Amino acid sequence: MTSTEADNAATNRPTPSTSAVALFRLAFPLAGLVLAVLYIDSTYGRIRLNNLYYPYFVIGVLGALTLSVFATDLRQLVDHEGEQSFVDSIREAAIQWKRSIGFTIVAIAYLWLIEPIGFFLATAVGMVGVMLVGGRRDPVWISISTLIILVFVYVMFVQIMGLRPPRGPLGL
Amino acid sequence: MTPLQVEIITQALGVLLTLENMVFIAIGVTFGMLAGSIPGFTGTNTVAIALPFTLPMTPEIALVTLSAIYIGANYGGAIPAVLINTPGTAGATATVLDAYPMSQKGQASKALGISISASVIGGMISAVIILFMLQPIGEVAFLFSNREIFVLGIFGLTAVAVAIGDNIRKGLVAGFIGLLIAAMPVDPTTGQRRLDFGFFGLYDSVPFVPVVVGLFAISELFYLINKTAISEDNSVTTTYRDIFEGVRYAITRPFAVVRSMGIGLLIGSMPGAGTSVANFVSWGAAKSTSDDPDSFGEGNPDGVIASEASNSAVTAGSLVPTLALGIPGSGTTAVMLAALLLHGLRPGPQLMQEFTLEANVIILSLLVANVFLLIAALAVSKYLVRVVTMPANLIVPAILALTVIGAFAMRSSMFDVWLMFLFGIIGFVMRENGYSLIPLILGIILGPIIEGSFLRSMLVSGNDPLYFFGSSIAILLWVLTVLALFIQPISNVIRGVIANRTDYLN
Repeated sequence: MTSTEADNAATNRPTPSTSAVALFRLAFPLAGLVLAVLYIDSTYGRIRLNNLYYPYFVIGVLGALTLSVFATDLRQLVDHEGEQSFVDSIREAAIQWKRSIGFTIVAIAYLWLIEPIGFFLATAVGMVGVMLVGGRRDPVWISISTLIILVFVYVMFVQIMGLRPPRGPLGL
Repeated sequence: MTPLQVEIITQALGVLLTLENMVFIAIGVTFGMLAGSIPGFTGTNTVAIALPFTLPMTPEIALVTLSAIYIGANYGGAIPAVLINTPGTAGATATVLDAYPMSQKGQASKALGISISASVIGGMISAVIILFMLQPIGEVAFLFSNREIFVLGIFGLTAVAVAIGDNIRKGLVAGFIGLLIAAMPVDPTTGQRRLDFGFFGLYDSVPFVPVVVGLFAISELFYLINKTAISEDNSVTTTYRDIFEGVRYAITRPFAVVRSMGIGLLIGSMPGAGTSVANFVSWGAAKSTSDDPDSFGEGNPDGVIASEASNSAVTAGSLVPTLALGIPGSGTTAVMLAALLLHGLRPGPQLMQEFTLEANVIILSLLVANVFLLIAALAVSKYLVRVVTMPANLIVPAILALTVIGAFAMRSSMFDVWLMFLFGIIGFVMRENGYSLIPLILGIILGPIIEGSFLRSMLVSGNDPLYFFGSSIAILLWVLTVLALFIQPISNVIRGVIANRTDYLN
């Protein structure tokens, strides 16, 4: 049982749909299988077989293990009685993890901004965004803590370690 | 002790005892203690964040600094356990059982004093024991050729998958996905591209530092952002007089400290067994041998000694399989393994052959770091209640900024920063679905070593797969691998049969 499912059970919320649970629970091993298929597609017939014994041994073991995990998970999913529709389940999960999702969006925007506007400006924007997502609203508190972190990063990485992070049009 | 061992230790002391190293040890211990005292932020995450900071350092200074952070973070977990009933790290879980009740009785300072002295004494004695064990371990390491290293790698992954997490198959899936990821860059013999998705950043090797930082530190942020404040209770008052009374209390119970240290050292040196196992076993042993077992869990100071002396001994113990075999004893040593690679030290049996001096420096640094821990902990523990009650919405953006610049610092590449974030999401999905992160990272770190050993063995044997069963050590390792795989299912069956019999008899 995942922590989300445990929370649902503990709070007597309606159980999420089987397809939503399957989508999340099987995501990691499925990603491993997709990677294995792409690997074979990219190497088979192009690299001589003697050099592929090792990666194909890894893929063989991974395939067998993944199928075994799938079998166990699918058996549990057959017994799972979902009370919500797929869309409702996703909506509820989104509400439960809204801060984590907000953090992901802000972090992606922050990383994307680093090259066009420079590391320090992007970090200032990113930090303010993450603090807002985290529920902090006090502008003085946000400004001071952002400034302290930026000064620390500048002294530690630029002055002491001699690093040159990406610079934007303002040279920051 | 042999003359050679004395010579190596003397050389290692010469390398270690420089002003620069002392400064970095002091900084490392203090930083580790501060970060380790933040509940939910483990020693593993702390060492992972610090990893890129060590890039411009020499290997010796870098490893000494990371060892000091490891020591500091391991102790730091005890501070919120005493003050706010929340273990800062998994290793301090059993500390809560007696330390917080002591705190509630107005003995918070004494509990802090006991935890400091038990940690320091346990850590120092265990480091000395490990120091003497290094040479015998190094002699065994000489028996390992490419064939044995390949089988050892498979055994290591299996042992870690079995020991960590509830589901062996999930652990193995994570480990083998790690091995596959490590096999994505160019073919090591022909230089032909395999699966790099057109990214030059994946051309010759998978950059493991962004992967480590992403899996451990970034994945934690997805949880931390949901907490507004870790604890609002910062009303605990502490005094130096009572802290020293606690120190005196632990010193007058050498048998309890040594017994707990022994348990921690033994469990820590088993691949995959962590501090949380050690401190509960040690706490249980202290309770069962006590004249007053009922007082355990109600604020018995001996419970704090049992937990803290054992978890600090795990630090030294878990470095044994890490340094000697390349199999980490805990999440933090998995990150230390990445640090060894980052600084040009190839983990595995060769490490003890080729980098004996460095291995001795690392163990000796634990000894020195414990001295600094004693000073730093006595000086600042009293005030750390302010840190443990720091709001999460300040900690998360600060860690995000530090990890981004840290990942960028490795190769001045934004690709590494995106890779770190991607692995943060992967880490979160894995944790939510009961997959341990450690086998994945172990697969990625050990992958090139295992593949290199496999290719060289195949070359030597003319592609004969039976070559991997051609020595007694290799056969022993295969047997251990099979045993590790089947020991849990067999024990489950036996327990089931016993339970059925018991029900039938009742």
